[in-house]
Amino acid sequence: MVVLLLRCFATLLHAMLMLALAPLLMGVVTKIRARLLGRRGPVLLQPYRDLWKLIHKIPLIPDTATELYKIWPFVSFAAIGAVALLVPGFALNLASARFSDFITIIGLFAVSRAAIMLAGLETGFGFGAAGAAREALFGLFSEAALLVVVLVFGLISGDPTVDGIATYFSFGQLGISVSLGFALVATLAVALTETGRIPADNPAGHLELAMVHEAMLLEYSGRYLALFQYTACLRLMIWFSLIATVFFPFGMAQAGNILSWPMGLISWLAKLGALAAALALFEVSTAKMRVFRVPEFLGVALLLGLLAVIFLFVAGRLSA
Amino acid sequence: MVGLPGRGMHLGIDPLSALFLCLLAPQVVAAAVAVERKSVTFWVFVLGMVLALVAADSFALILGFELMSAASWLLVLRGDRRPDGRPPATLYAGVALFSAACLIPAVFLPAGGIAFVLLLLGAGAKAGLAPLHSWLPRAHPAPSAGVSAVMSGGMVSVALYVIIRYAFIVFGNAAEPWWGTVLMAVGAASVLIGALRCLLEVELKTVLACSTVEHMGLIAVGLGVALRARAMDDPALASLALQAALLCAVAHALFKPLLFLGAGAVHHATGTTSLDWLGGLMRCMPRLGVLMLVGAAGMAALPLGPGFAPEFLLLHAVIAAAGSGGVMAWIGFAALFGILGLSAALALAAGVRVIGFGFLGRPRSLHAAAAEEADRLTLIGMGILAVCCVLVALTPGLLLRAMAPVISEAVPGALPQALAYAPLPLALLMAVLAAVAFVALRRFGARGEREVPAWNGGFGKPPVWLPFGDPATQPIASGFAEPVRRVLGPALLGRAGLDPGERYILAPLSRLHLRLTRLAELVRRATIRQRLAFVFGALVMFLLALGLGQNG
Amino acid sequence: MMGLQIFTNSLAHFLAGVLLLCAFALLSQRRLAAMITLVQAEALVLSAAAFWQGLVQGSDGLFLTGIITLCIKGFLLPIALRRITRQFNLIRAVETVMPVGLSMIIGVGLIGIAVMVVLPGSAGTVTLTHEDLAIALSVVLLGLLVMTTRRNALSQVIGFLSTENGLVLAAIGMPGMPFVVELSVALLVLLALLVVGVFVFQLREHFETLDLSGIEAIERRGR
Repeated sequence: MVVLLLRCFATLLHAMLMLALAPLLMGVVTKIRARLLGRRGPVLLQPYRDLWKLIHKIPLIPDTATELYKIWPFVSFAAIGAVALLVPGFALNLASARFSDFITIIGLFAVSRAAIMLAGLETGFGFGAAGAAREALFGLFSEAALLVVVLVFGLISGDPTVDGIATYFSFGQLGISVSLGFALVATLAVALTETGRIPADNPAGHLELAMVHEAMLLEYSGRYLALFQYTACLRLMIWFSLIATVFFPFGMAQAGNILSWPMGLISWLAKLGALAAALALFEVSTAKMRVFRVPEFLGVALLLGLLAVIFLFVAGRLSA
Repeated sequence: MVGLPGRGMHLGIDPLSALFLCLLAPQVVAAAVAVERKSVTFWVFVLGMVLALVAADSFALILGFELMSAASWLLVLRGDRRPDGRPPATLYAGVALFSAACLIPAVFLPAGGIAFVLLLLGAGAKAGLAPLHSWLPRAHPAPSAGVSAVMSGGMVSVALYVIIRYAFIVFGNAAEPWWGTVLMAVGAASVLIGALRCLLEVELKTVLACSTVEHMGLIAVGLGVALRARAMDDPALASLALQAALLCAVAHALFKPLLFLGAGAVHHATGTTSLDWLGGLMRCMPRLGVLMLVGAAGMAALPLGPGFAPEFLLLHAVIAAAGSGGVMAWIGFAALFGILGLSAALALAAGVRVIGFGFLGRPRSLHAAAAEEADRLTLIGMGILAVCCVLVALTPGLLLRAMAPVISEAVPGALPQALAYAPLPLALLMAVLAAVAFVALRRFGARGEREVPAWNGGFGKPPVWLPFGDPATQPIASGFAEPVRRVLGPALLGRAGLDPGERYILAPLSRLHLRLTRLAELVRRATIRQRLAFVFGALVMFLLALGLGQNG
Repeated sequence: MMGLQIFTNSLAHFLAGVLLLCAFALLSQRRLAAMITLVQAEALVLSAAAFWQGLVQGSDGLFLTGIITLCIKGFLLPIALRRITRQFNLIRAVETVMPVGLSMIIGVGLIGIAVMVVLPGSAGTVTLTHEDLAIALSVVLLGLLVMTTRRNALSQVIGFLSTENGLVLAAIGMPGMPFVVELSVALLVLLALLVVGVFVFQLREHFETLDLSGIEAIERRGR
């Protein structure tokens, strides 16, 4: 009973932290990136200030938009918010663990993507549609690559939930496996594309023709834009947590054991910080790709997933 | 009763046929309510389908199947309104004959590999499985909306029923693993080509027909995994995969007729179904738009839509199946998984395209701008299907439990599995999150909003004489699909951009047809002397053969 | 002791995996500069693997292999290759014979074949060496694929280097491989590079390009 209560409490804490810290994480990435480029960069709390400013502006609704214009931000946020509750953060075995099936999570990402694409098509002007077309193109390969990676996880751990996979990886005697390495590279490529970071898209870009994610939100303003931007922060947070949980599951707390929480929190924050630094470093050292190079980039990720499956077969023969 | 001499006709309902009858009922009711109340041919068509489903002997099944084919051929012929003037009815009749020619020997042959291959060719051609799928995107959109709906939702289901009935139940004990592998390969090809064409086609009804090919492929993959597992004595996996396939059939039989009825209403209101000429219909047809949104969510296999639970089960079945077999099986299943992922994303993009270009944005033609809401009966018919869709989407677990007898009929010793995907809590969670966001934005944010011309990167307001802006500045549906066409087209469709099913099967057939026609023409035009020479030659050959036969 | 054994093996294994990753990435790159960087990374990883194996097996020969790899393939050759690219303004140019995506799919197929070849059928025990051998064979095959799918003479040299890296990887993974073999292989590469370098310079002087398709055309005409 106490354990169940603790698990619920941990889930609540997890939800609060995910929702509250998401903009901060974006601020940290921006800050580190600016520092690496030799600039001072905005203060860490700048994303909060931007959101606050946006929700205090009166939204301007395009006259060509339909009634659904105001629905899409909420759909996109609800899907991503649900994922935020399902993906483990600082602790394993949360109350939501049983529902954290990887394929459901991919499906929820797809819901969010569909909502953003429809938002881009809402007003019937060129930039939004161009962004949506590109997002559709990237989505093809990123979804395929991610599913193949999920196949690798499923084959290794025999458990479809993120929580189960992380539990298996943190307790299993795995050593360093080649196929997991390939899976990690593939996941990173997918994560960069899905969060709209640099080789696929530039979050700081301001040229409509070159944008993908931002182009779809071009006609949004005020609180609706704020909701979309917050969702983008949350998506980054989710991907970081997902990678940290699955590939680096050490130091994670058990939700039923309150004594392990502080350690879990510290290690989670440390992992997020490390991933933020790695992302910033990667972003300053590469350039944005042409749109039609991105499918190749993701195609490599897909094939790496296939390679991971092949070497998993070899490893399976080893243990057998 | 009619039937085999001395035996009569046997009819009977077992769980499998009951399931497919249940799946047929809502769409027939909806189609009848919406459009096809008075058409006799339609009811004959329905009768054929029902007869095929309740048949308890092979003869009755074939009779029903062929009645269904013949009636639907009449319907296609009557509704044949293709703008490009190529008759799908002839093609359709050809496919129906081919399918009968394969199916009739298949059901009377002893169980074995040949019978299975013939069955797959016959029923697969009817279900639109690759490589015999290319007639489907031509013929299904041709008749009126109600018939299209029942063809795409019901007729292909009957073909699937035939496959399940024979492959699992009649031939079941002779099944070998390669049967499943063949079915999976055929299914994967249909999934890929169907999903890709679903994104590339411009006509709304053709888009929906291509989506039918994709979903038939998904079901075939599920059936293939189940058949392989059954032949390899793994009832748990077999029942999981069969659950996926049957649930997919149920979901498809609900949302596809819904979408086809909607497409018919759009055609009625605007005179076109080309996505390049629609747009902004959500403003003048809000109810139809919302109903179509439900259907499109199913077509795109989004969570909380009817199409997600089967996809979920199918992916889990493939994960479970991937662990068996040698390195080729691993690579094959991994590739299959990649194909399924790619097609899921293609279907998502296609669903977004149908809604985004048909119902959102600005009208692309005056007809689209002046559309009126669909009539009440159509809306009621679609409403019935939409309610069923929502029920299936939210309670797939109950449905699976109801299907348990079907599973144990098809897979002896089946262990029905609980569904790990729980849509109701998920829907609740998402609703709570959306409500929290809404309340927070209202509580802390600025109130009110202002309607302004779209920003459009600063290009400004269109002139007054163009009420919806310059149509030439609008993105169109074919433009949306262009990046995908550029990336995947050369690899999957070849340089000409043609469907492989058309390029490698239809085009050679039509060339053969041309050659035979020329030959016949040659014979017809022959002079008297030539004909005499022909008869004389034949006589000499005959005598020669006779002589040789007597001497040797 | 067992844990140490696992760690030893998995680190060697990890390095081999990174090497394969580099070889695979080589296939996906169009630009010469990036290809050179990747080959350099391969060499660095290879030398690290050699040092690690030397430490574990306690063999001085492997250290020497590592040092040779590090010096020649890790620094000397990439610097030389970079100089050539800069001199001929080839930084951007790599024309491929077939689309990159297709060559990558073929690459995956080759790796599958390598795995099938190395793993004996259903019977028999499989050891970790087999997996390392599969990786090494994959690297060799990928290098050969790079050589066949690129037109530019320099990228063929790079493919050759990658092939050679695979061979050395196989050699250091097998305990008891005579050191002389490795040394001779390394020298062979150096020699081959010298020959190719001279060839490239000659080519450049005569044809103003490094594209071998011109020569193929001449050959065809000559026949």
